[in-house]
Amino acid sequence: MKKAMNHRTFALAAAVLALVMVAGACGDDSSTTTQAPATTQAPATTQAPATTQAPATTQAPATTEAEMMGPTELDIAMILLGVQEEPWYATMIDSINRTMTDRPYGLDITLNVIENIAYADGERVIRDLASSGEYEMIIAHSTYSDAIDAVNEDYPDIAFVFSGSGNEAVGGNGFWLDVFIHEPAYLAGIVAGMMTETNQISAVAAFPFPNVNGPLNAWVAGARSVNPDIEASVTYIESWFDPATAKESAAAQIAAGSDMIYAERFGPFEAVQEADGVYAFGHFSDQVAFAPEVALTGPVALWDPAFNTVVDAWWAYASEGTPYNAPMERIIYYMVDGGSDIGTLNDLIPDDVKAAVDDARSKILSGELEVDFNEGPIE
Amino acid sequence: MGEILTHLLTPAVIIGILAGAVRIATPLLLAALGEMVSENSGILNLSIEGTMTLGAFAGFMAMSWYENLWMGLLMAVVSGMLFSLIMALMTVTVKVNQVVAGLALNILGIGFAFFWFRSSFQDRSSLDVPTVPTFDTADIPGLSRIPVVGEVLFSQHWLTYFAFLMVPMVWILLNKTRYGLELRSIGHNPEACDMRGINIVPRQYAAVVFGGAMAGLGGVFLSLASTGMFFPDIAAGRGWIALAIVIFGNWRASWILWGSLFFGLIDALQLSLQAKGLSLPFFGDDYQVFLALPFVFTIVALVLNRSRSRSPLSLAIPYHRGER
Repeated sequence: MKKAMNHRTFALAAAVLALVMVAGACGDDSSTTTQAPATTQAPATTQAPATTQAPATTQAPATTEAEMMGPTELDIAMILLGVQEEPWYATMIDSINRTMTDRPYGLDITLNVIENIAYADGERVIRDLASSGEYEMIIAHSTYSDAIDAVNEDYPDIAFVFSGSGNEAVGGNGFWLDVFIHEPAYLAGIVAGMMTETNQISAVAAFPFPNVNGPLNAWVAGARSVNPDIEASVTYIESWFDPATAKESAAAQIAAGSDMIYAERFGPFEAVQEADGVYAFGHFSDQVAFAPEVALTGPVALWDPAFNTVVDAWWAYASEGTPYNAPMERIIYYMVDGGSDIGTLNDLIPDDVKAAVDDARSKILSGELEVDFNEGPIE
Repeated sequence: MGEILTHLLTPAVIIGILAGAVRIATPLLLAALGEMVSENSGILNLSIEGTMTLGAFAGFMAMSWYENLWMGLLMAVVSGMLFSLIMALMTVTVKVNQVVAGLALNILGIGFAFFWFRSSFQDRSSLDVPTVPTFDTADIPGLSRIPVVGEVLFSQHWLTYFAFLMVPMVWILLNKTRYGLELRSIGHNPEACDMRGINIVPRQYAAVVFGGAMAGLGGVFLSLASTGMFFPDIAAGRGWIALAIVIFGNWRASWILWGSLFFGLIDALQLSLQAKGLSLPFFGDDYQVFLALPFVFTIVALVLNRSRSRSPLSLAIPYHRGER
């Protein structure tokens, strides 16, 4: 009797645990579709007819136009290291959404976003997505070059994309994209340098990474270009997402005398809102609307040209058979390429400051003014 | 070194560091106090991180529904209690391995909160980050005007006052009431308590559920007081730090208060030094050393207390009546 009881309890416990773990796993990998059309299919479903990955075969009879050449659909899967609201990811999704509306080559573009994929799981998830035959393009939107290097040759028809600093080039059908926002960060720095009262400006950032330090150094350089007395500091919170600590960092900077706070992460705006005479700058996406009473402006990333380059390469391959030929280096888009720009200029910014920004902006675009991409520590 | 001292002796900086330490300590103190009660009854609840995340989410969600901060607070407490009820069910009734159950519940809590968050905030651009209004700080009349002390201690959030108030309450509960004595006895020797006719199960349930409520409050401090945001990694390891503080505090309420403040102070100090761009002696710009310091001190405390440890003897050991 006693023995049986123990077995039963154990079985129950095991069942509960299994349930818990399954539920947990589901929640963690929860995939979301950003497009209204019902693209909710699980990536792992292996469909019988999906043996050929050539997209041309999928919907051939549906098109009545005889002149229609090449594929009509581009299905994209995108994996993210974090959550889609993080500006690094959000700006890419935004660019893809714009391209969707523009319908290049008359394509119906769908996007399936899968969040919270750890580096270590990258290869497995990318392989699952590729082998499902559902996708013509897989965007691993962060430092996943190792995973793509391991997978891309097995799926020669798919265009693979990865992004940001810290990757290694793959070539062939593996595209390494990046957008540099240090030039608009320099412009935001001009605003900070002209508007600061204390001559002390600070940034709250994640980690001392190249893609983090580059814009921060440019922001400080921009401020110094108009105000040589600027003292600058940066606080690294050692996390990609910890708004409570980021807020405390900004509060400490304000207590130490800074009145211009660059928010490389979420959180500092809330500390700036609680202080008097202190202003904030957004990073990577246009964040003025988040706190219009304190957020002045900020550099904004635009992935459109980078993404469209890969769409063009895929189209050339899928419709004309032109082999993929991704360069063995990072494809970087600067402000002049449309890869970035200064965001909304808040009305709180005086006109002479706005004029100085406009002036510097046109000088950067014309090549008269060159802004260094300095990955070193912020001095 | 001289520069650092000059910086640290500036009044605004001192107030900033101390007030920051109290704010940073609040969620840690809430979660650690609750966990301490749970562990005193013999149940090691490792799911604090998940419970905090869920509490942060429930408060955020309730706020966006009812636009009432107190409703958010209430929902955070309720969600923490319900979630830890699962922990109590698994460990007290079903008697599974407490470590495994706690780790699994962490995954469940964070995953569930994220899942619900996503399904609630669909059909919007990723660029549009959902936010809610937050609690204002509540100045205590009169006391908040005292120089330095007023700004540091009496110009904080309601949840901070509550957290500090809970320190003596928990101490009285555990050390000055019969119920508390019984609870601690269960943590040390459940068999003896069982023989004395003390009903173990409801007491352990109550302790674990109390811990869940406190962790929920710790979580909601992040999403409704500190910032008005929610994301699945909002707890950012604070649940694990709370577990370390229980060890650091040697399972005593007063030491847990000092432990939380100490962890908060170290963090506030390093943020302030970074804010001024000062280089550390020996470590230069490697501020990461401060992130490791609390854990180094926890290990030191563990070693120093080894002969005086107040760790419950039956911690994490399921009690089966009539078995040895």
